[in-house]
Amino acid sequence: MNIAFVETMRGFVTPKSGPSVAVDFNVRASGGAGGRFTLTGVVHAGPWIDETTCEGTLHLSAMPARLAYDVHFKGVNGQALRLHGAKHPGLFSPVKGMTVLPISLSDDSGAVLAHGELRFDLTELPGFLASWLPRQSRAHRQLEARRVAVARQQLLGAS
Amino acid sequence: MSSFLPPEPWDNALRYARKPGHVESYFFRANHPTRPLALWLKATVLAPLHGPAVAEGWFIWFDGERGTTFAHKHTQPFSAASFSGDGTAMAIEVAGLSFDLRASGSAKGTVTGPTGTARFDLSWTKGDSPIAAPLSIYPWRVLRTGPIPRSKVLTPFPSLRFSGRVELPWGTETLTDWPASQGHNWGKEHHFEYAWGQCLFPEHDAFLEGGSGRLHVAGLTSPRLSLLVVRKGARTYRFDTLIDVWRQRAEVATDRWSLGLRSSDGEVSLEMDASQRPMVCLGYDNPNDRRSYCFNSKLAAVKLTVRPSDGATFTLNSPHGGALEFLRRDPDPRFPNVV
Repeated sequence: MNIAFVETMRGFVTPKSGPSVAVDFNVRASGGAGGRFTLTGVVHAGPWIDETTCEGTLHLSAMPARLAYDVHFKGVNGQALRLHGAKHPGLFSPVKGMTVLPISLSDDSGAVLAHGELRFDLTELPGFLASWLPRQSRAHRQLEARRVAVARQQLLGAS
Repeated sequence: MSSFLPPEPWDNALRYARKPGHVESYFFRANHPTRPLALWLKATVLAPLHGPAVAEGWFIWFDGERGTTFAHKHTQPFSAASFSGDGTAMAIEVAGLSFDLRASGSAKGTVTGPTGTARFDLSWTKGDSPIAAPLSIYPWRVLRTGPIPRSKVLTPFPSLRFSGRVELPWGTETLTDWPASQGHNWGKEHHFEYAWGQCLFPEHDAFLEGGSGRLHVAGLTSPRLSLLVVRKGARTYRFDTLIDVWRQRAEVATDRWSLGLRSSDGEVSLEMDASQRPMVCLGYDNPNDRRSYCFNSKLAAVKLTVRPSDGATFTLNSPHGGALEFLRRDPDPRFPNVV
């Protein structure tokens, strides 16, 4: 079974020093076999990188209920960075559990650079649900166009 | 839906139907391509609820190099002014100002204020880029033709190129291809309160216009609503959902306006800052005799970042090319002279 959907998570992370900064990722999740999805998309992570392409994984498990995100990308100086965290849906907080993602930003040595929280905007729920349909929705097309444009910009080094 | 609405006149057609309770304005803004200099011209109609209508001619020069402005308004009876034409071309004569308003038009005039006399003789041509097409920041036609909001906004010519001469008390300035825009507003009264901004980015073939305002309807004041339209080449990004107030971030400070909006076209953030820039306070009289105060600079710094849903992020900056206005209900002691 091959499933695909598009999801955007937005929020803030707080570095060890300094003010909170905006972080978001807009990814296409595809796959689904064994609860494992491959992520591709675009990430924005405050001062570390304005906008870049990203890849990663999403693992779904039922016991305990957990949706674990691991998003890899390169920072402005080429350093490898990870956004990782997990949603924990529960019987008593199904909405919060599915829409709030505690997140950490780490470098390639595993050192945590910042902690924060990303949220799914429920006003985007119709588009999110439409993105699950077998026929590629507008969200898929827009994300792919954006990902290609960001990749092209990185290649050309344009500002 | 649109077939049920009344037909819409040409963008620049005079909406004043010789009835009390109306304000209307035609205005131009032109900025020097590189220096902090800007010109603002305006012809207005004010039809009070009681009393005869008047027409007003406005001339304001913003000089960021001298840190000063030359601002003048002259008022005359509406019967002594002339607004003729069908909206595709308008000939306007008001209080010493004459506008031949069309895609390739001209403006001439002499204004004398307390600090001297200014003369101008200008012509313009419409840009040939898609950004020069007429624009309304209102997302729906019913907002321009229906009763709400009570003030309507159109930009018939977002991108013009001005050339000519302006003689000021301290010297003459020659204009060569200054980026400019022309707007047309009308309604039963001025907006209750707003911050409004507009900017051309000629080197990027881009334009923005937007506003954050509160409406006053049936004695109630709305939350602050924000709209922004960005054009870049052939693409238009509209952030005009209006109903998702909880997703809008708008901050209106004394001389600064910042905005963050989302729509299906993407995300946008805008910062406009006129602090430390020449600014004037204009008295905008409403038909009910209440006066609003427009704090107005055409030399604001602008930073715009657009993150399209389907493309790479782009950022545009203008060091002093932004038109930034704040309409408020109270005067500001920093501006003892209200034009």
